[in-house]
Amino acid sequence: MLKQFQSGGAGQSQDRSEGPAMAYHEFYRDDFRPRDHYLPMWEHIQRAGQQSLAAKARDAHLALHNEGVTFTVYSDQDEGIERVWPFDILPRIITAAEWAPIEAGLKQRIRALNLFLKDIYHGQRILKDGVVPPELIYRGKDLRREIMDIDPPHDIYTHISGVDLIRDEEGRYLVLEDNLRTPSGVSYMIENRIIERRVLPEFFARYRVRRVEHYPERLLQALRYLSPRGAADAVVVVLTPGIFNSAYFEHTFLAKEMGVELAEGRDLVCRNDKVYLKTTLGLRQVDVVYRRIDDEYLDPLVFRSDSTLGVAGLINAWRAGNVALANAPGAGIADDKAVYAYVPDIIRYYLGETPILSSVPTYQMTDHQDRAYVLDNMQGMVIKAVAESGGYGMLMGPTSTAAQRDDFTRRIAANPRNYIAQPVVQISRHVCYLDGELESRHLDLRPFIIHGAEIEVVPGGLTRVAMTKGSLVVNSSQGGGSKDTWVLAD
Amino acid sequence: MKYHIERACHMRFARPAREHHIQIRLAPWDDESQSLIGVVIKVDPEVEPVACLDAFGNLSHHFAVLGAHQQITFSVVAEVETKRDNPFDFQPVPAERELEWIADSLRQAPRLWDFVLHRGVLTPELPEVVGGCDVPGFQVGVPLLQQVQDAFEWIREVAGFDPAEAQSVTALEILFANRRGTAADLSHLLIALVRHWRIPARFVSGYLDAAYFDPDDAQPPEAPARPQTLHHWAEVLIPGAGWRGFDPALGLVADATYIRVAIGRDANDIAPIRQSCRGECEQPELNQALTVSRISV
Repeated sequence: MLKQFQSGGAGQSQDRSEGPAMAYHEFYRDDFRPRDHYLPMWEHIQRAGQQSLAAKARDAHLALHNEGVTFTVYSDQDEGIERVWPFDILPRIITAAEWAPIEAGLKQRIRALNLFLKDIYHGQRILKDGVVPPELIYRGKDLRREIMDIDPPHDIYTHISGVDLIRDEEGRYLVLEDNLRTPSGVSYMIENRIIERRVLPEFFARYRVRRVEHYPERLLQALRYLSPRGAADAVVVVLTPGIFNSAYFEHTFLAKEMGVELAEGRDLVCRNDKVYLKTTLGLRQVDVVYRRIDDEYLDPLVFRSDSTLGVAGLINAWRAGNVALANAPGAGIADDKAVYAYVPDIIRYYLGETPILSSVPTYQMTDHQDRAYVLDNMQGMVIKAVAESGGYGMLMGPTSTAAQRDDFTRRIAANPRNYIAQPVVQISRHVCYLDGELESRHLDLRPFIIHGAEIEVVPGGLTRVAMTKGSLVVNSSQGGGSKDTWVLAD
Repeated sequence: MKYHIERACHMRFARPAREHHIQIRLAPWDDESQSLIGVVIKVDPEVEPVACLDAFGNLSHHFAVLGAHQQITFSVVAEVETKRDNPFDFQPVPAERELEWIADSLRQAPRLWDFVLHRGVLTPELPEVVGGCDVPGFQVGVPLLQQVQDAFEWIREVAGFDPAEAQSVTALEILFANRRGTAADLSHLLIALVRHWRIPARFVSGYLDAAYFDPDDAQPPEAPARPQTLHHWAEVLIPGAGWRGFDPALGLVADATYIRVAIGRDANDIAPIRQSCRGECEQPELNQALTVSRISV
């Protein structure tokens, strides 16, 4: 395969036939030549040959294994299975010109979504003005009434966001979904870069790649900015549900990289509306909690009373302004997949601007016409549960069975607000080095956005790859892999 | 009317508890229909409770006892003046314009949607028939106040009032099966019905001065089964009036003898006491005492 690839057309045309013909190819041009910004890398691969790539792929896997870079897959049948993070050594390269509108579009989106959250939990002007239907919000699973009228520090709700982008058949970047609760994956973005620098230093010599490794430093800076007692003396902790959580690796990674304590709920205690860390030297007041626990489990006094993962009194301390929580509880209502369809209107409403990034057309199952259309065309649709993530609760129309479609038809009828549908987008493809061959696979991109004093988009992100041939599902929990993502400086 | 209310709770643990956080919703409301003159909360072991308003406007207090302890006592002493002597004293909206009035209210105050849309085991979507009785539909042109009062009769057909278990709350399905329910259960049924009409309705927990009857009333209504002082009822958004209380257990419209303490979408929103503790704390033994005294009419 690699030989065919090196010799030109034949390999590529075979490669193109592997995926749906319409998908945009990020690596190849239409004339089967690599795109200009991939040429230096391609030339290097040609010179080095397959043996070299195979050795580097083995090195990468070994390094990930040795460093314990893992993730956990859950299924109905068994408990979590821990796996070494699947990584493809060929990087995805985004030019500076391509990146500029992505960065501007993401900043715009996060600015608007924060204003939306502030409004929903206070005056609800956007509902009064009829821009977003109140029923959509009040039927949303992630509306947290318990935080109504609480003012988070600096009015920031989404300190860390991960926005999933895809490229359509024309190569345009589209927002697929927003992740504003506790988006994960950033540690893999950094680990991918570390491994890539180690195994492919010669690639880096040929490109000016913008750094992503400073993410923990920027995150800490943003978290400190929230501190009610001032940034200089801020005590920050990462609050984890514990070792059984699928993202525990990331929690430990970020705490270590930021140089802050990793705490479980039992390590914290609230007294007089303040939060304290239990230390061997006594109680130490905490100013900022970067929580990686879902809203529902965060405070048994306010949310689920049977939760043993959270900290009783945390929301009261937050309300009193004595501690900052990142991300703010309740942010999930803004990344509800049914609210997603209104984000362009939300941007126009609060900012008076035209959305820079486009969205995927979305059908609301609460709308009778939309629903009838979707049910008639299920095989061309992706149907998603609005409050699920990680690829769970989803029907991929083209690969679904009749029984699965019947099941979703019933589920939609029982709770239409819980589902949306989108036409299947043939998301873009890229070459991957898999089992000694170059193969094309579909992928998406999750850039991370930090909202501290300013909104900063990390130049890069987590590129997730559908490792199964032809598959459009990239979630790591569904067997997806990843690539290092390079944003070029010029 | 003015009332003096004293409520005391004593919790005892079989084994020592620690990091014990308690949140209570026991202070009466303060709004146009009821003034909270004062409230004092005392906790033993001595800690200072902190007050805040929850999402539904209820005044809640929280406090924590961190060290190991086997018992906690707290008391709430409040004075309150209720003002709604005549709940029918308002300028009604013509019946044919009532739905428009409701729609306007929802537009101006979207938070009211919570009291239209919320469904759960306590206030589910009603089927067409419950307990062998057809569920009444909304009748355009009939005043809402009238329709809610008429619903009392329907509720009586579905389930009778059981005053024995004042505090218990059950899923409506169980109410339909048992055909008897507490004041809370019957209130949930009324709420589910009113929401079925897409009219805002909410759940109220509070106290009832059941001993009072109007001395000017030549023929006081025949006293129904006398409820305990702790009581639950529903509120419905009545065009022209705002929230009005309806007590399906006693078939009454709430007046100044009803003292409102907490309001929510259903009983689950407004647990009077929520607590969390670490250690091997099993469910505590809980003793409560309540006195509601009328101090002036």
